[in-house]
Amino acid sequence: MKRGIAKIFCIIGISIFLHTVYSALQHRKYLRLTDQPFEGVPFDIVVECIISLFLFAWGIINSQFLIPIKASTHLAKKSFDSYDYRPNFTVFNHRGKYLNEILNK
Amino acid sequence: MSEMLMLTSSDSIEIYRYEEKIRNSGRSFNWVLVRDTLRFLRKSKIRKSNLVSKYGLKLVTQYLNKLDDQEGYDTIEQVIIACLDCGDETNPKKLLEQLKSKFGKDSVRVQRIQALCYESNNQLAEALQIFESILKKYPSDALSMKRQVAIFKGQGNLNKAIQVLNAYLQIYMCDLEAWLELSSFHISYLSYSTALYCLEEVLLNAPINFVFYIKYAETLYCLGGSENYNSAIQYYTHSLELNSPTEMDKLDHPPTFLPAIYGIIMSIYSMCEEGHPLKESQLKLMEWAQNNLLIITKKYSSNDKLNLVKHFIDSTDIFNKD
Repeated sequence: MKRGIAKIFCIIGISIFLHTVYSALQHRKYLRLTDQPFEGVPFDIVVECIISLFLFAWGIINSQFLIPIKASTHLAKKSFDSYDYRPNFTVFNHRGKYLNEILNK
Repeated sequence: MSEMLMLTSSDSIEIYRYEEKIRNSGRSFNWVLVRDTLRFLRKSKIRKSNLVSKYGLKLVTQYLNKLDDQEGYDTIEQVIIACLDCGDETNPKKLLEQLKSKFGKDSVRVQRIQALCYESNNQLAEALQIFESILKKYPSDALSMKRQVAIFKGQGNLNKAIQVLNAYLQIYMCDLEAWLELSSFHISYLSYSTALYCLEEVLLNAPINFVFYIKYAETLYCLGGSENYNSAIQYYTHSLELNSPTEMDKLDHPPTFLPAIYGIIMSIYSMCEEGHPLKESQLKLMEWAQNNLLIITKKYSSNDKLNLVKHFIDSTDIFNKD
């Protein structure tokens, strides 16, 4: 239910934002026609824009399940033994020689 | 397939797939596949010397010109070390000559490989001499110092190895691998409290890696005593927190937190054996661990193993005993 409402808020937020864009363009066109200098966007358009931002932000956060970001997920893919393998400290007097003979038969 | 079940991580599953593919390619030699396999092995730090020496040797002797220049020489180094690991002495010499003609005899890396050859040939004095001469020239050469430690370790002279490694760690304090090595030396001397100190350094270096928490907890468990069991449980659970079992269904590989679950069961059981009173939360944890252990074994392994696990749980059960 909440997610449905949030989705609707998302859509409303986007449409309000599009409306602000349209009205800002309209305002500039009006200024050009009446030969006035452009000094900034009118206050009501700014407020509308901010409202649309908050609506959209609230909507997008609540319209889906958020998954926690973990720093350690990539570590879980490694095998436990690979942390015990220290390549700089390998020694060569081990059973590898004999195992290799058996394996290559 | 039965071999597949023993694998515990996506890395090892991937390397298993590579191996299958290579073995199935039969007589025709698929050099792209072998190159990718070797590349993957270099990246993931898995030790598969047999595979590398068997197929990599063919790659570097017959297909070297097809490899990238930089990668080619990396691969040669990898193959040399793998061959030495397998007790092969003639092929590494040939490859080493190739490296010498390319980089010259004075290259430190080539000298180091030369020393490795001596080492595997059991000419330890020569190897040590090479490392000493490198260190005289470049006193901060970390790899040569580490190899010196490895030589003493290979001789079985652990005292000397610990001494050299300590000297090394005073310079390179944030070398994780070296701290792990030092802890393993101390563990083989059964001086767990010193090993704990080394593992603490490792933990400080890699605080998000769940494996080292398990290692630390295991060492604590080995020390014994109800206080240590208690803190071992804490470290095990922290490792579970980092490698979370809550999203188990979404994993694309078997879970890697089983050591922590076994550890929890064993430490709580040992605490109970010592007559230490258990908290409510610990009892809950025990129940959770037993259930999850069963679920995971049911999902990922055969019936024989399930029986073993059931026996394990029965023999460490604290609920029915009192």
